[in-house]
Amino acid sequence: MNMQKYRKKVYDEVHGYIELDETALKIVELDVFQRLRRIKQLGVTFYVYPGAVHTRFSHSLGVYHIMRKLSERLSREGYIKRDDIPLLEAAALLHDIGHLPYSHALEMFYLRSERSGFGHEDLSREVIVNDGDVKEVLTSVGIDRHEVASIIEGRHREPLYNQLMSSDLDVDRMDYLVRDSLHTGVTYGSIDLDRLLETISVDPEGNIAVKDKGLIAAENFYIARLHMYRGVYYHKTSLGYELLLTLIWGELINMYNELKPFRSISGIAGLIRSGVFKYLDDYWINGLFYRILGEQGGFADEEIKDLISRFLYRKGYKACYDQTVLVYKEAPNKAEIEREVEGILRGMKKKVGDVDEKYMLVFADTIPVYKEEEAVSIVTGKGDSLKIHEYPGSFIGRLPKYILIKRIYIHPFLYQLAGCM
Amino acid sequence: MRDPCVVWFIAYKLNPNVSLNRLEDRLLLQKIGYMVQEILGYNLGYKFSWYSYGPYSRTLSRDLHAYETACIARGNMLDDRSLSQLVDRFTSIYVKAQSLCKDEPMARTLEIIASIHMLAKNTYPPSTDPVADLLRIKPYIRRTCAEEIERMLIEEGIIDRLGSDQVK
Repeated sequence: MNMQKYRKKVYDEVHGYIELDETALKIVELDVFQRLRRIKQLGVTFYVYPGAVHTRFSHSLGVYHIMRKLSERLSREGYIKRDDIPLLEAAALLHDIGHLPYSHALEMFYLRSERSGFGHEDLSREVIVNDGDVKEVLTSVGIDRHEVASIIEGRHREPLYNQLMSSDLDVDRMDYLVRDSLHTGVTYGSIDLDRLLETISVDPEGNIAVKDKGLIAAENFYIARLHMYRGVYYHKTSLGYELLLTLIWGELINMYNELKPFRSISGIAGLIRSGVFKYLDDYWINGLFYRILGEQGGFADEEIKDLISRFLYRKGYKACYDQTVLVYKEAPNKAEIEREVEGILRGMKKKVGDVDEKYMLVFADTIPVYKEEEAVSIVTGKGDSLKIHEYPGSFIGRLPKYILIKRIYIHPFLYQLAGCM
Repeated sequence: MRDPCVVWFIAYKLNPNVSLNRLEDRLLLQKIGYMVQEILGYNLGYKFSWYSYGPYSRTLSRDLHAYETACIARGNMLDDRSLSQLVDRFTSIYVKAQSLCKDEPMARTLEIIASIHMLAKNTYPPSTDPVADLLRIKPYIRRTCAEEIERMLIEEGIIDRLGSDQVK
């Protein structure tokens, strides 16, 4: 047992009571952490699954809870230093602190942007290292904020700590698969968390592993992930709304000077340092959208207002071309995929005439299901270990390695014209 | 802007049979990417994490698969003088290290170079004894080999001598 006295219990819909000690409570009470109550975990997925309105706040508490259970056990078994448990718990609580409103939906804008290419981990690092309140709290409890950030960035000196936070079988995924499955109602995304937590171990090279008696739970974890990718995270409709949001956001940050800081990571880092970041949540974005819709004159033209309305009232772009392929061998060639999708797009453009590119949005990506080098190991009673896809009796090696998704979304007024129906 | 082609190019230069179908080669490509960016200072646009198999970038892993054909088609890029110099500098470090660990395969030698560098310069808290930390998670590596490579990296000015400001 952790000797620190628990100060508060929070009832969580996935894990039951989550006990927060003094350090955790101080972090949870920070304004910038409370902000996570107002950021939906699955961004725009509620347009497809109405129940998917759970938040980054409950997910962060869940990740903390799993990290606490796991690190205490691994500490008892001698894999983790007891003194490092509060550090790992702080990293778990803060791992998503840099998420922008609408979670991955808005993040996609920055990841896809050639000029920026940063994600929420980069912003989490900025918040942990540069937010004055976070700095004060972590210092007051004797935790080095740079060390917390290094775990989230995957460059802590102890590779096991990095793997606990980010690997095939990490505490983040163990929470979000169960939580997202519960809230979407997509039951085949569920995993046997108790069994996993009982059987997770460390292999002779210091990697996260699963004892052989937990093989089925580990296999089910991979299957659940595959199903959730297809059924939820890359759902045709919600992905269309994510693309629409990124389109709107790209237009607005160039149109409005007040949004200039959002053009770069250094600009957003400035908002973090000045204490403004705590205001940035889903409500803030919606407020901005409603304000723009109500503007008379101003910068926003009817075109952007139309896009915002379509986003808010679920009248978004529709998929005119949609192909999802399971790939069992090597990754598909990116250039070939892009050429193919460009060809289809050209065909559609011929039908609709000379329209602005923003009316046709392309998504083409290859999502890894499992990679041999990152796959979890299975350890036997004798202490030997093998990667799960090589383990006798495991079927993971027969799973598809990638999901290839090619889609073209089109503005509703062009849908019929482009021959989509 | 991410650029996996430089990694492909150096890998082909070292071993024309390099293939993504082999795990060992995939890890070799990762170590090349790390060394080019973090030791030679040629920014490829990747972030490397520290795992038990050494420095590793998931984005680079994806890009190596996705752009393999395109990168091979760009094979004439050696005409670019700066890239030629990059290859020469890379090869020079590799050859020196290989001469210190004669029996080790190429992938292992690069793994040692990249891992010692990452432990000394890019992990947090920085390692005060990269060889000891490396051997703790990779007991199969020969101590003498790791120590010789560490000494070579210090002499080349690639990492700092232990106890200097860099590793405090």
